[in-house]
Amino acid sequence: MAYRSSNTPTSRNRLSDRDMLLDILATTKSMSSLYDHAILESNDSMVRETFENLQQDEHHSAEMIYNIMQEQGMYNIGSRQSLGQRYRKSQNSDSRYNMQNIDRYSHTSSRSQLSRKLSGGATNTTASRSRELSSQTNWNM
Amino acid sequence: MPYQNNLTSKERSYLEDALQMENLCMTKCSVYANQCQMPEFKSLFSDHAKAKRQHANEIKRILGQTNSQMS
Repeated sequence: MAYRSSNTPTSRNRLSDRDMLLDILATTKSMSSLYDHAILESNDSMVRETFENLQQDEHHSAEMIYNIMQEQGMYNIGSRQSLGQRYRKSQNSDSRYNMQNIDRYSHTSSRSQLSRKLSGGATNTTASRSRELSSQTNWNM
Repeated sequence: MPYQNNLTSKERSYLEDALQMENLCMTKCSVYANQCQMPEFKSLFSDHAKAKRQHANEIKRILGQTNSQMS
């Protein structure tokens, strides 16, 4: 089997257009982080300003490359619908966090959380229940 | 003269790193401009290579000015 890149067909010893764009995007990213450090650690204000200008250029070119890849359908971060699903999911988890925050004030539920963590997930409920009971009795003694 | 002070060793090493990266990126862009299939990417890569060359010249200017002052 010949080597195939995950999304675009790549012929032997040749990068696909997508690979090239990805490489330049990754290079831009690493240069941007280099400039970030350089800005923070520059002594001379003119040098810092130069680095800031270069950094701004990197940000612009990263945005441009990303937009082009997005237009060509080369950069999949998921469709709009799945973005909506992700948003809904994050809302759900937010409400769950709130619940956990409330539950933290009651002893038993934090116990059960601990036991769930110990038993490696909530799939084995009977085991966690018994563990919960035993840990509670330990706590009482 | 904009850069009258000598660079700190940190600034110098950042500038040298940046110069290397800009040069590498410029070379890659010009190689990719020749190799890529779609014409719109070709112009993107060659434009990017030009921008990188300007960056490299800018960095060289800073490094060069202080170099000539030091010697």
